[in-house]
Amino acid sequence: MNAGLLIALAPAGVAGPQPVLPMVVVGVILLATFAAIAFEWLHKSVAALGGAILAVIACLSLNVFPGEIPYAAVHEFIAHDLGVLGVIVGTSILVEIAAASGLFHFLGIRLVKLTGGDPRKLFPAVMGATIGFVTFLTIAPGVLIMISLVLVITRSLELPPVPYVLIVAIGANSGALMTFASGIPTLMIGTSAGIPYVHFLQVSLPLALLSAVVAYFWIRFSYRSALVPTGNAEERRARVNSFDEWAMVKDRRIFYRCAGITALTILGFAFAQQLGVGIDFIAFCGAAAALLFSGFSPDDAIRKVKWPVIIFFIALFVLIGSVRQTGLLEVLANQIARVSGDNVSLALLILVPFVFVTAGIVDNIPVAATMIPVIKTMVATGLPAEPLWWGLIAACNLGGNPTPVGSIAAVIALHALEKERGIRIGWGEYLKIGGMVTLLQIPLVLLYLEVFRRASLFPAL
Amino acid sequence: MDQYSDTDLNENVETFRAATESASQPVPTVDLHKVLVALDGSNQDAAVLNMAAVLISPDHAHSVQTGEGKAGLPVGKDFLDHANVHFKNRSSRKGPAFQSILDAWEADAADMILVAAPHGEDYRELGDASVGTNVDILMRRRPVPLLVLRAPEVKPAACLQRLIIPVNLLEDQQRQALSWSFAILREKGTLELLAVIDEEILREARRLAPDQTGIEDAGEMVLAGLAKPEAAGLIATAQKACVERGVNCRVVVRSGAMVEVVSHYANDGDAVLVTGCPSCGTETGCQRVVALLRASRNPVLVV
Repeated sequence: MNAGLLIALAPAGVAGPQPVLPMVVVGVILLATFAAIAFEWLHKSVAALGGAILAVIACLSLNVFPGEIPYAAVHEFIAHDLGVLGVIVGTSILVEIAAASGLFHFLGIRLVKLTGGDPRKLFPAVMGATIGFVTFLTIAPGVLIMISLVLVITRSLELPPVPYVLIVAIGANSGALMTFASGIPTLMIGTSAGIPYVHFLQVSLPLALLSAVVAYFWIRFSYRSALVPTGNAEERRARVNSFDEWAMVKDRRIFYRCAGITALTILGFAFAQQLGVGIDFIAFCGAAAALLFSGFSPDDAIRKVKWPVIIFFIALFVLIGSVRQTGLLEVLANQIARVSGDNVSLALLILVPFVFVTAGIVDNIPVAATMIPVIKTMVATGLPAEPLWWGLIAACNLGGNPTPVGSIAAVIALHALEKERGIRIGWGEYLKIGGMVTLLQIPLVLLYLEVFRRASLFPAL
Repeated sequence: MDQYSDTDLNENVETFRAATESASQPVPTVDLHKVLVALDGSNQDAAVLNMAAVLISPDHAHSVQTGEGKAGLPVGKDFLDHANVHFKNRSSRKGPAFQSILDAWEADAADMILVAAPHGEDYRELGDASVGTNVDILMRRRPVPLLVLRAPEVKPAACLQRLIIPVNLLEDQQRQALSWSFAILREKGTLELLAVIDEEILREARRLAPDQTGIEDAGEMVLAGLAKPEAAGLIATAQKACVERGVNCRVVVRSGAMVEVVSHYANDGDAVLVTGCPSCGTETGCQRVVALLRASRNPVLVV
């Protein structure tokens, strides 16, 4: 049947030479879709949906899909990544309910109070909280909470908001690298590569922290004059102490329940493999528990799931599946493999900067979706899997740093800054910070992977 | 997950603002020294003067007489003299009444304007659809809060014992509404925060609330927080301020059509309804307050 044929083809590649015409046609559709996303000609869900429909029509017309019922291939593409969609839906519901309970806002204010409003303590605290929130909430909800906190707190304490906003925008991408479920590209790659949750604690978590340290020191150095305490320290401390972290907690019982459910879900993610279930199952358990015990309207919580993102993913899976079926991605992978030979360091030297740059221009999710089959093919040619997968994870997440449109974190942070405070950070100013951070992070990632590879520190997949 | 909207952003900013402002900054104190009282010779003049006397017994009241007044002024002067309230007449019979009132305010700025508006039940010929052109315009152009009296048989002292703030109708005026409420609320009075919530959410939350708190008032507070996230901040502030001022605070939750629910609740007994006129630049916000004024038998303070 089609399913068996497709599953056999996907990782191992399509045997024999593929016709060039489908590659060209579907490749053009892919590039046009990416361009529409990168230049915001269309909403990204609409762009992906349009690209997927055109790709399917092209593949059906050019007999790319095999089997008696060629269209069944489309369902296989979606079924292959159903786990990713499950995690997104489940965690969206849980995060929505936990946020509505006031849990994350409580933690944010409590953290600020611990710093006493001193910029020297507040700045690293903002960085730490950003990484923490993104690690557990994923990038968009984590950044929304942190950027709101930063804008309100800096106004209240009369501090310059720009360095704090930038540390949120850039630090968030390091946070997305922390665990399996911290970022959507991480989730997609982790699922495709079959990487267990605990491996992330061993490999990507230290890298995430190192990349955050690099970003922290560069931003701190760049804004050193703005990060010194001014005014009366006692007055500032009194002002911060007057913040009421319980003001937004509507019900303390719900608050404690949500905290417990969130903590258990995170534990569940870590032990999913030992429990013999996927993390999508854990995410749904967390969502169900939150819906049952929070008193939050189920209809409202389910309505809050970002359905445009789900549509975007389904369309993207179909589009990338179609491209993969033409053999185009294999050609790309084989070219990289041919250039690098069996030299993994060279393969990484090509792969990591390439992904960094493309993820900085196009949304990093389509880049991850495109590169997953490429890496699978490279692994099939005999290159070791571990450095390539971890290199892709690092580059996809950190690749959002150089430009103001490279990651959702920067887009949210800069938009919020302009909307709430009327301050616009142009490409030039952002590139000075984000671009330099990227220039420091690329060699850091390459060096880190090289050290892990040579010291055989990568857990085997 | 990988998307956001301005609504998400606003919600988060408002939530943090509630934490940093509502609970930490005390509600500013408003001193009510001077009330501009508009008299029109109707049977509501006595009620208006009575309210002015109760509001500012030790200080000064200024009066502007508009229209073809008959009984209002002499009765009012005697009354105010008796109440030891200084009275200053600014009689004006030229131009529209609202302009006379605004001119009088400009000449001698008062802290509040007090006017009467005919209530439908007492002025059948006007129907329910009018609170009068002058009040409509004054509400939109008010330089200071406007207290509008409706039914002539109003009992000022009793009304000022119970103030009702519909939290859904306040946007930027939350703190202002609280300040003015505390300025006019009598000792040992009660401030009631009325939240109107979607019926489905209310039903679901009510099912869970008794189990969560076991205290009826606290349950109501929880439910009110569900109406608007920022309402939680207002409720926290109000409760804290009420404790500091030694007045009672009660949170009430209802569901249904906003204006009908609020007016029905407020008309049950003597009270003053305190509301803002949200987004006065847009007609919708004002229309809702006008609709509330029309439906209310009790005085309405528009801050």
